[in-house]
Amino acid sequence: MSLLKHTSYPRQCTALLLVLLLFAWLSLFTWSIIPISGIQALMALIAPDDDSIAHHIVLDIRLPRVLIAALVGACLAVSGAIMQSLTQNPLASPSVLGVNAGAALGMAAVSTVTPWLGFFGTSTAAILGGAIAWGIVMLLGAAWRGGNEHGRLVLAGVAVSALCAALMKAMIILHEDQASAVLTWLAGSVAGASWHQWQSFWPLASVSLLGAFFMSPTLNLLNLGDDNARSLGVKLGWARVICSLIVLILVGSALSIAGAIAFIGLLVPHMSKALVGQDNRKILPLTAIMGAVLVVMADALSRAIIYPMETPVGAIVALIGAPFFIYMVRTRTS
Amino acid sequence: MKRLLCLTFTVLSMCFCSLTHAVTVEDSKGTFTLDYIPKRIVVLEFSFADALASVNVSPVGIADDKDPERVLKQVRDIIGEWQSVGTRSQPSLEVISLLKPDLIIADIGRHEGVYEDLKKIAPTLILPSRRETYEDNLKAAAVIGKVVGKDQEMQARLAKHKTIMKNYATQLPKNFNVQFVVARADNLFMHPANSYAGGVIKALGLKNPSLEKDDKQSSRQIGLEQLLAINPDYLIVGTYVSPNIIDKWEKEPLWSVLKVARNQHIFRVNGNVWSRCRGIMAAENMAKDLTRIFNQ
Repeated sequence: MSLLKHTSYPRQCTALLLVLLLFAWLSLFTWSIIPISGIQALMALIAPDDDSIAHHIVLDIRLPRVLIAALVGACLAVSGAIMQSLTQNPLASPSVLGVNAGAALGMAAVSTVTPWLGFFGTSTAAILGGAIAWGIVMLLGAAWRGGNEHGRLVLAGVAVSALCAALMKAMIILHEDQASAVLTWLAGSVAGASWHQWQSFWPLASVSLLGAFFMSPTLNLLNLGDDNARSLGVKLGWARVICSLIVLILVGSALSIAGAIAFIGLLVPHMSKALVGQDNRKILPLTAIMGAVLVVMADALSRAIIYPMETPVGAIVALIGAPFFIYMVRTRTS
Repeated sequence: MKRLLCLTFTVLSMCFCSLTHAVTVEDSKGTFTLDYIPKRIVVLEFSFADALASVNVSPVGIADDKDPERVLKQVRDIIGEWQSVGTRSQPSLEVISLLKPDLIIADIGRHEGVYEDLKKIAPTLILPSRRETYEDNLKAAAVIGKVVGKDQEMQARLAKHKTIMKNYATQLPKNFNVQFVVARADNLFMHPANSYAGGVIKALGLKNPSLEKDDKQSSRQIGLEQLLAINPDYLIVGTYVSPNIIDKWEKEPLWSVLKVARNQHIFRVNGNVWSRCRGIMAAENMAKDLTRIFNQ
């Protein structure tokens, strides 16, 4: 980290991209039950051989999984960064502000209580649930006022999360059969990744990521406070609506694919702020890369811990994330 | 006169002894004693209902998840009507106490937390059921037989069960790897060698592949990659919903690499019978399913 801090921004990005590529490559062949070598993994990408099981595993299971893990990490991390600017609150992130819990509730509701709502699909339900929960948190927390209301917003987030979690637990207890599916989703996992998922995921996710980068100058102005931003010509209402929509699409699509992976949205923006300061134009791309690195790395580890079985990647992210976050907060205050 | 009194006393005490039925067994919490033959029994798992039905005893209440169809058909036919006491995970203590049971049979896996509350309602026999092995299940059935005063019938039924299973085993080939999995909408759970289904498969002389040497789990969530590593000869899929994950995976190119896909050895069975029911009659049903599958 400290090495990276004193290099130029393009170098930082390149270095992190290289780390991402390295982990992605490792992730393609390590901890496989059918032995695959690193070279085989590369060969599968360059010259796929239809008869080789190793190549099939790399191309049909591992590659979509790595891609999805990277994009999910990028989406969640960027959405956290936007939320922090939007609400002027360093604690803002999808998991703290109730989006994860709301999405989980939506998902649990569809898969347990109301099977007749099946036409909704779990993804739509997750996105809707997250949106509603976030809307309630924003209203209760008076998020639009910014500035002094930090505590109120986080409190609202915690309260709504607790409410959603309680309702969801009740649903799981009453419909135990579905519990395992909901629990897996709650922990967050990209183990079931397929090309089919990737195809439905990447267009939406990459468009909203680009949208987020496009909005970064406006986010910078929002950081100056409402009055300053208004006097610099920002249409506050519109800017907030657009940013909120981007966040919802980013979080919703990531959650519906990988489940509720917490911590990335909180942790990664702070990591990149530690590297490049407060300029969102620099923060957002770096956050995206770092988020991708973190999830790809955690996913590789999630296969290693109880090999040959898998641990949910969300658990690994929390395992790495929580101590790191505490360390960062401690070094900042001291 | 003295001799006559003595004789009467002996006869009377013998009569009394045969009337009282004091039985002491070991359950999952230690020693369990009951000094009467229970008439109103509430069971909180399907495997216990199966054990009771095997010796023609009808429980008054079953934690049937509010869906009578979940109780095995053969069991239903024997025991007749019962009152649902709610779900297996959250049985209603109120309904149970309203039934005024004189014995409750609970599962150590699910009901340890409410064991003390259950004991206040009626003597509670607590035995393994969820995540139990096939052998555990038969042992639990033997214990239940003793407690309900039908030890001999139960021993006879267990002996008959062994013969039935042996008969099925002779109709099955040996040395095939058979893997039972439960397919949900988005997840696949394999039941390894130590699971109930794994035990039944082993008892029938078939083999159950294992990813680890000592897999203590009763079910594990796996992905296509792990399934490929197990690569069984036969895949028995217990389903609850359709379409499920197997339907999705069948479209993946990697699916065709599996032995079971190439040989078309994928067979669907009733997930309820194979995974939830567990018991003497359930095992016989499973054996029947396997015989049908292998003799197609």
